[in-house]
Amino acid sequence: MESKNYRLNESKMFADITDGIAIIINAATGIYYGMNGYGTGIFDNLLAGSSTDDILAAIQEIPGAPANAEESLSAFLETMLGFEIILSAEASSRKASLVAKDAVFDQFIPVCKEYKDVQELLYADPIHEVSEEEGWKPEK
Amino acid sequence: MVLSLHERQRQNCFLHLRSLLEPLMTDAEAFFIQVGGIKTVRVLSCCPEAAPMIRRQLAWSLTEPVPNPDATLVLWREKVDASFHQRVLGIGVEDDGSGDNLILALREGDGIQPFGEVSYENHTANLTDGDCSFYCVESFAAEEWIKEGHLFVHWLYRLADTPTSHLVHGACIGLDGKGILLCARGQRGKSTLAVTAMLRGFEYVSDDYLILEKSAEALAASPIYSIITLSPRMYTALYDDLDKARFVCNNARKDKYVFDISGYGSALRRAYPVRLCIFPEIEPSLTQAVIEPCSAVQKGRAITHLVHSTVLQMQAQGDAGTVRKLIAMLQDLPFYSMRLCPDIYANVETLREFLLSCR
Repeated sequence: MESKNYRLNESKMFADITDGIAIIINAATGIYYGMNGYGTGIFDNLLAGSSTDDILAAIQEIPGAPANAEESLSAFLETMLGFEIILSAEASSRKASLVAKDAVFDQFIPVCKEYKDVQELLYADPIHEVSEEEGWKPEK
Repeated sequence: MVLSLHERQRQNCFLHLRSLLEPLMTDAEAFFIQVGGIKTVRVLSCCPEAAPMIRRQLAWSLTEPVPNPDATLVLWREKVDASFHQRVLGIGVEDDGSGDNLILALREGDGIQPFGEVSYENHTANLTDGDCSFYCVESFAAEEWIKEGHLFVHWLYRLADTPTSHLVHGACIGLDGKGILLCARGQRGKSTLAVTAMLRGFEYVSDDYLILEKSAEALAASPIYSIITLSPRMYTALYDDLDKARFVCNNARKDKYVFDISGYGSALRRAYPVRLCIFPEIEPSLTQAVIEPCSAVQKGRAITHLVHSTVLQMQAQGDAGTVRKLIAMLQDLPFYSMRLCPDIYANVETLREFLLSCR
């Protein structure tokens, strides 16, 4: 993977990292994005000016880092680029720092996901369909 | 589990519920509540022990009776267990016990629209039938009531959600009609700054939840609650100035004290014009607070805090329309960061000087 730098797409996105979790909002659409702890660490380092090489070096320093760490980092960057959360930035270098326990907890897989809409969240629960004819049993 | 019902079944639920409540309603006490400048709604309390808590919590929102309130909330006490939906709503379906709650939803074409939730974990249930909502809880003990204060927040949140208004999780204070909206999640000094400022002569709307209304002229903030919650440390720090505050109870987690501050009604403002936003952050190393214009990134952080804090409380993260509306309400305002020092009174004086210097 060629080393690159990225910055927040400020014209579209609002972002904050609180309690180790990144929250990003697309100001135009109102769509929410969330990250796991490991992804938040990577995102934080990117915004602070670390290059992808700097971040990869920090990942590889963590005991237990898998051989495919570069692939998952690349996929994470692609996801963020797809959501237009980040844009390419001028080259710079800064030693990256990641929290090892976050990386291990998240199995070295950074995640950036779009929040589903309310209707989809509802479907996360098991749904019991009450049939109009048979399912309704009035009080005995 | 989500119980997906048909319209006729939904109607049967409410028929069953209303017949159950009918004998209780004859002795119900009615309270009328102003929802900002938008609506007047009614709470019908079927529990005598709930009345004093309503008066303490909502003293600043209570208003004169109106003949046709915009909505009604019926409160009653009921055991909330796995038999609730059968016993109270007449639904014969067995819950599969797969979760902490049961969501009742109406089947509408390919989608489902929730109209009620039974929480086995919190022992509460709430249902909405048009303009009438029903809420029951097993206990109206003061501490439980404060925990269930979110009942009012959720209900009022729905009612305040109009194209030009919204309930938000934020604080608002000001001077001479110049309101400041404090945008921050918890533990960032927002509530402490708001309460301390009120005690030192600032105009006050809220330290926690408020209703924002946007008009062509301005953004205005109105209160909901007349209570505040203080940590023991803040209570000690503010003790000498809290002479008009009355202890209500501990909060449900028992790590804070709840006070009725309706004695400070002279500081209260409704439909208060918001002129600017401040994003506070505590910096223990500072000896004096610093207020500076926010950069674009800081402004984004501040808006994210207010929006996220609001939708998190209301579990509305997936509601992009709400998020867009909140952003549209706020983004034209000037934003400032305020780095707070440990001296809470000095912070208020810095804010006062700043506001007096603003044109």
